[in-house]
Amino acid sequence: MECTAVEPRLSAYMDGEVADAERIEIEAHLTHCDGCAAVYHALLHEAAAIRADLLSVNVPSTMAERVLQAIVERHRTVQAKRLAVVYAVCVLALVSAMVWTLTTAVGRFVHASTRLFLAALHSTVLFLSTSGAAWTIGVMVLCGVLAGLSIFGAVRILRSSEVTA
Amino acid sequence: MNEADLDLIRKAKRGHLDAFTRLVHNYQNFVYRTAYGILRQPTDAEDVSQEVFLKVHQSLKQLRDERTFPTWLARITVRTAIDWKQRSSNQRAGPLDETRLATLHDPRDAAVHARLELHEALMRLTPLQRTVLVLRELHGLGYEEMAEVLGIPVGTVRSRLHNARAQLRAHLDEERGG
Ligand SMILES: [Zn+2]
Repeated sequence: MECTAVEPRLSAYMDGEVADAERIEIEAHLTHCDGCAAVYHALLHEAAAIRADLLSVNVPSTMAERVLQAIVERHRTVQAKRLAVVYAVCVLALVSAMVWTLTTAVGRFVHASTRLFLAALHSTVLFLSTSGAAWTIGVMVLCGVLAGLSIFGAVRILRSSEVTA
Repeated sequence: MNEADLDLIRKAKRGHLDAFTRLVHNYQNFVYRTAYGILRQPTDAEDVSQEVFLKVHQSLKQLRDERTFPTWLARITVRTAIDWKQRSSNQRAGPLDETRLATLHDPRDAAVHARLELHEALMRLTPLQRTVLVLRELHGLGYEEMAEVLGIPVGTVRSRLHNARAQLRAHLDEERGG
């Protein structure tokens, strides 16, 4: 092997990345060629120097802390963003519901029904507060009986439809 | 990589922050030295290391085989460092940090002087050339593994390493000669 063929292969030879036949040829050449042997020793020396240089640098002791802080911060930012999105969706839903009740016919009906329901609720509260405790109990018992009758009736209707079906 | 590290990785994957912190402790020099070897600038290497661990925290769940963690970590570090270098077109002030500058005035110490020469010579290489040197000399990766980490053919690894070493030697000779 000529020097011009050996020299470009010394780097891979040093790393043990040449085929066996090639390795034997290079080794034979290095025993009798001072020039290539000098290059090879320089390569070995530089590789060791780079390794020593890199092993001598050490990460600052605060690295793990910095990383944790950054993770916590990022987590907070993500959470804040999500919360903002939820808020935005809620506001949007509220606004569109308002627009809907004010503009469409169905909306106006819902609006009127709600007002009617609220008025009924209001008058009930007024009635209960002005009448005495005996009246209140009376009304509640009556409501209870009515509710019971309704449930009883509903169950019967359901049963009879099961039988007919 | 030992069994304890594998266990830490598994726990960190399941979201244990404590395990992740210990993983950072165990691999912070691995990452920092790799980044420093490519950038040759301590503060940049610190910032890159932080970014690398954030990426690791985010994507650890995607790591299928825990045993490939070191190669995976090396790949993330190399990519982050090279991206960093490309983003920061304005290089920071000096190639040397303060402690190294201080030793400049004391050339009697031959070992220190040799390290300074090496640093200057490495600075004159491209980040990609420094990357192959770091993966080889620091991590002792084989050419196949390097090709995998860098996403390039083995032949390219071989020639890039040869060129990096040849240029480094030329720069060192120049410094010693002049
Ligand atoms: Zn020769």
